Amino acid sequence: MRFSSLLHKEFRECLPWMLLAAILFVAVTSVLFQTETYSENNSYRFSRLSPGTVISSYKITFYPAMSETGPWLFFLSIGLGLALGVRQFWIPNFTGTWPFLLHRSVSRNTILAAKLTAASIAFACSIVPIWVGIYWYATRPEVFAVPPTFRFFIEGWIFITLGLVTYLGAGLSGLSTAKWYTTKIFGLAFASLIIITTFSQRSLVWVLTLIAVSAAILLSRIFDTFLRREF
Amino acid sequence: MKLKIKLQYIATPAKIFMAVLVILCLLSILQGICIEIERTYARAKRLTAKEKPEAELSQEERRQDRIRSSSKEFLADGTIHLISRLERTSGQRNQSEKVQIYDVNDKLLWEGPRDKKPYEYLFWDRQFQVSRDAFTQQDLKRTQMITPGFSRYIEIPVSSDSKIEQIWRYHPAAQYFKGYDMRGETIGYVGSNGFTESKSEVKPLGEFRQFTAWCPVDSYNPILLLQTQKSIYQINFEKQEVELIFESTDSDIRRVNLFAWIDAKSDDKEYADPNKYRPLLHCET
Repeated sequence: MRFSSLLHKEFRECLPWMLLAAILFVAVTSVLFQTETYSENNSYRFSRLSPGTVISSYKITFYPAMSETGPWLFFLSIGLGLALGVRQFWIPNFTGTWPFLLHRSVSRNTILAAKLTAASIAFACSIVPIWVGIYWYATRPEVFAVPPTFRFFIEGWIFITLGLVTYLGAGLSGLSTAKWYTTKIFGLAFASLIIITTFSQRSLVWVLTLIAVSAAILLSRIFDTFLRREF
Repeated sequence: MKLKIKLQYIATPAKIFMAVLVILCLLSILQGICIEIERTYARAKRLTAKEKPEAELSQEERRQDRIRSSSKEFLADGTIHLISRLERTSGQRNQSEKVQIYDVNDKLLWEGPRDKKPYEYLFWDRQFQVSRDAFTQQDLKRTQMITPGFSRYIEIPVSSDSKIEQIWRYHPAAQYFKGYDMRGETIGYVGSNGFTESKSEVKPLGEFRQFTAWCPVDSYNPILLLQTQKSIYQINFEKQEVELIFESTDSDIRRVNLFAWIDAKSDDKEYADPNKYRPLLHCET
């Protein structure tokens, strides 16, 4: 009961950000679907080939259909992670609501678990279903001549999990009591490092492992800091 | 409380790992900045040093210098010519490069624009792997890199009357091409055993090394010369033909050179007169 009440409170705080991300992503992808299907049907991609010439590689390598959703998915995911991390772990420092939350007869573990669950639900209810919907629609034969592959779907999931890593990084930085120009920034710096590393990789298995390990590191640090910190 | 103690064993090494990683990263950024500053400074210093007037060379020294910097070319009968490039007049970048052609006794035979030279020299076959347009293993790796716009695909079109009818996409992990018609239906696969209709029949082409693609003079549909670790295939998607050009049973293919292999237009840089030259594919294993 206590956990559900806390979860309700945390989720209420996440709701505006979650809705904002979902509305923006739906609006952008619906526009992109219209433009992409139009251009795909016109086969503009191969208009640069001409008889009797050698074809340079850039003329036959292409981003998949709906690739323009990628930057939106990535930045919305990062933005949502940052917004939730700041809302849950930084704002209480300024508003002074940590003591108010902690004086109740609930363990710190429960409070932290409620925060993390609320953030996960915010991701699961906003960006995730839209991404699954995009993939499902884009792979229907009548939509695009050459449908995106399963790799495209997994890469989208990588962007979403990078948002979660950003959330954890922002959370750790928010919980740290150090000065902002010293180790306080390490949580966000570590998350940024993981994001940069991801964008130079080819193997999906390696990237997913990297994200899982970094999330585990950040989680252990968040729990440790939160349980030890004096508010 | 128990969790707090147990967490300590994970959180403390995690904290150290995180801190070391971030500090190392900051240090490498700092190192990069320092190296770049040093390079810029050294470049500026080098340019200043170049501006100083060089000591005047004697006539013999200038002659030796010209001979040293000349390119040495062979005529079909084995005669050697020394070709010296003349410096362009400043401000006239569009004019054709002028050359002087000398024999081995340093007697000037001809002087004029390079493209009007009266001699025809022997030349080496062009290396497939250094060709600007060849798609190498490195290029393939780059296409598979995760970017905000996702990774990329290689797609080969087959058109008829300027309308795209089929698209063949290369699947690097499976090492075959998969074909789609414009309704998005799968039309077949291209593997080492040729064109097949089902996925169960297709055999992988082999570990990708490079390919070069061209449109024949009478078609908009590309032909691919694809080199894998041990084989070379020529794939015509329009005619649905896979021709095994060469297969090395023991060792890997190290290098492939081509000459007059590509059916190019007369104004294309890859053009070689088919009446004068036979197609050549030189393969080193």
